[in-house]
Amino acid sequence: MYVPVLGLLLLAGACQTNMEYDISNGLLDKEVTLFENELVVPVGSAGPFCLDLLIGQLSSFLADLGLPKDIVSVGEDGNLLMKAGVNVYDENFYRLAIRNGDNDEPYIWEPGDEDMSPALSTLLPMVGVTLHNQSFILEASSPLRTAVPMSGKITLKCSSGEETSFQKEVVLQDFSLPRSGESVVLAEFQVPEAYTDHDTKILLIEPKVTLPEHFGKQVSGEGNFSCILTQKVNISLGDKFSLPLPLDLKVNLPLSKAHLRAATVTMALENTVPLNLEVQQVNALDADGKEVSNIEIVPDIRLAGGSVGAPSTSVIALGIKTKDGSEIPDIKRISIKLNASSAPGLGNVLLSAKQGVSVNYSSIKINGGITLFRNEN
Amino acid sequence: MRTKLTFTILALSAIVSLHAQSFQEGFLLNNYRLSFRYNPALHAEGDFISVGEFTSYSSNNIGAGAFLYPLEGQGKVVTGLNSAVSSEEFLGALKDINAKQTYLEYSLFSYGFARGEAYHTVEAGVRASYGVAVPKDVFRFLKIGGEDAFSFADTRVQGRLYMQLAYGYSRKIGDRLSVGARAKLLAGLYGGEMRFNRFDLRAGGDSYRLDIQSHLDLTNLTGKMMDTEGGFLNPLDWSSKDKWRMPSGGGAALDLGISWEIADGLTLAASVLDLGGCFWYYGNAAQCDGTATITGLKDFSLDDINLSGALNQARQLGNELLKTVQYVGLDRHFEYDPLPMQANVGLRYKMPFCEALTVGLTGNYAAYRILPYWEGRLALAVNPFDWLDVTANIGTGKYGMVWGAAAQIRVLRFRAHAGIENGFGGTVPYEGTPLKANKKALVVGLTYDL
Repeated sequence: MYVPVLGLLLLAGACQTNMEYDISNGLLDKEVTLFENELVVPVGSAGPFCLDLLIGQLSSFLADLGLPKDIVSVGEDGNLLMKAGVNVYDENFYRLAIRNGDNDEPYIWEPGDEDMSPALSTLLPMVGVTLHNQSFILEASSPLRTAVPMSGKITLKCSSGEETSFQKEVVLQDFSLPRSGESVVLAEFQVPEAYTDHDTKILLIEPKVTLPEHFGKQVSGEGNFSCILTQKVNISLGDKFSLPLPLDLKVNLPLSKAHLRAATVTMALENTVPLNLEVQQVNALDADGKEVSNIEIVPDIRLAGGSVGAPSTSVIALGIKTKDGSEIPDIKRISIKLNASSAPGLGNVLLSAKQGVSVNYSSIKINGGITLFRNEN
Repeated sequence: MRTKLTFTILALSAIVSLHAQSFQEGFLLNNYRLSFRYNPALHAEGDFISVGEFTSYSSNNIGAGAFLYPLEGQGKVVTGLNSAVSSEEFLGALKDINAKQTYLEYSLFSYGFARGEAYHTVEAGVRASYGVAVPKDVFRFLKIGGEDAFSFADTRVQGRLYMQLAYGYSRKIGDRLSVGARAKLLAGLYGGEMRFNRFDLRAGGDSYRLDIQSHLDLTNLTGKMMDTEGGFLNPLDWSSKDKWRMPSGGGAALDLGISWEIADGLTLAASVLDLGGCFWYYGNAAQCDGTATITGLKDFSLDDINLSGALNQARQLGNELLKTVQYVGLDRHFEYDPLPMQANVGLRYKMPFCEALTVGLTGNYAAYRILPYWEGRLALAVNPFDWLDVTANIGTGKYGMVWGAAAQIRVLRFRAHAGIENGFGGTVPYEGTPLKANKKALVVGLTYDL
């Protein structure tokens, strides 16, 4: 009984249907584009990204110059410290014992004068790095079970051209190398700040070690007579410093799902590193590291140098779009070619682990909206 | 058989939203047994019983046409958030507050009987209502974004379910006047409301600022929302240990009516319905009042510049945001929720030259909380056979032109009735969702004359 009545009512209702609005059988396109005008999303703050994060990068750069790896570290005062050691002499006792033979008298070992130009003092100024608080320590050790006398003279010599500008000398008199297991400081020098940029040498003059008779029997196993010169220095980036810093970031951004056409990343940065940073090029890469040619990233990034006491602030922008106006595809990696150069007036500011770049504020502005639920068929 | 079943299912499936408003067409149907619902002073001749009647009502001040847009020549429909629809067109179609309200009523049984000069009715049933209101700024933010201030205040969701037991009494006074009243006893089962008194979003270049004041009330017939540390409510943690094991509310309401036969065949009737309300006991009550400033992720690292890193950071940001806007538990409390009062007035005239023909005028006002409503109709009723009554009407209301139709068929002692009210403007095919602001009603019932 209900059916005919309801049928009539339904028919009456059916007369009002508007077939233009038929959304059955997949006729409703669910694609939506949100925030069509623009969407600004505050991304947040970060950092500071301090120089100690770049120690590895810096060490690699110096290794390319011929310096040992891992020579950069952080000193107790928080400043970056470069420390390089070189073996002045390293003589196995057995070789000496063979040379001496089965002599019943003491053997005077004279390894010979050494004229040392420490590597840091030579190489770093070539790339615009200025040395500060330069110090040298000359240490020696013996493998023998007894102390042995040693004589000689160690000289620190700073010169400008042909003229000696500064000199300091240590004479080893009534001096003994201690028994095995202990090393001793032969000399310790501090280069005055005024002579930091002068040529520096360490001279070991007429070193003599008096070894007792039958000294070959006084060492069990292997043992070396060694003398090591260690140079420590703080650094600043002088006026001529310039360093390219390539960065390769794995980002894995599935931007194709959002169907974006243009985006701008804005950041307010605070810099306490006495370096001007300029982004020269930014490229989007695929998973294999090949450049995605259709993506155009326009950097407007020039960050002025600053210091811990006087940080500099800059607002930078990074525009991302495609060259043909199509939607931005996924970005797997980003390569950034950065150039760091010295900031005028900050050439003498020591590099410190506390210096870094902070992102005080950042945002992403998306123009054209975010498109979701697109039917790809 | 399958065709009939399909037809029935289709018909029933059209009953998306059900109506608990008075059935205007009932005033015109001859010998309509349930006319006391429209006006307690009205009643049909003879005793009856009814088992199961569905009434539904939905009102929305905005139609699906504001959200769906057919694309010319492409054979498809898109939503207002599609880029093919301009922001001016989409936002221009919305109201400041976009709301939909639905009332349902299922009558378990009705019994009417005459004793002397009086007519008595007893009825038991279940009533439910739910509604949602969303301000335009929600859609404006989603559609255009930008740096601006948005207000999502007056967003609200509410729902109620309660049982009703009613007793009606009507009596003739003299030959032409009838008065009646109907007392209803209400037992609340489930109720809840969440409303945002204040919900401001200021989108700026460096931050998003939220200012929220919101209130949440839920009955705890099935469970108690547990507190977390700090006194916040955890909507995912419910305990049945402390649940309220009785109806969550109680109340009463009164219907009053009068009917006056001004002259032979000319009757004027007026009624006021649902004077009263229900006291609800909210065992889960909470308030959120706070501000949050989103400046983005804190201390993200280079490792976070990928989807999973960003999602992880966003999750942490979301947790921080939730802490700011979490609901703080309040003491359990009672709250009075009035029923939406309704007023009906009707005038009908049985044609002296053709008693099978009746014309009439009806008017209705309903004080629904989110969407108050009014309408007036011009009706025509035909009783061509003693077993068939049909009426149709047309009128105007808050949302524009309206129409209605109803029919009653008598077979032996059974009377089946069905009625529909709707507006003009079309519906979504196969779904029945109105394309324009609309008030829609559907009534289906069956009575048996004793």
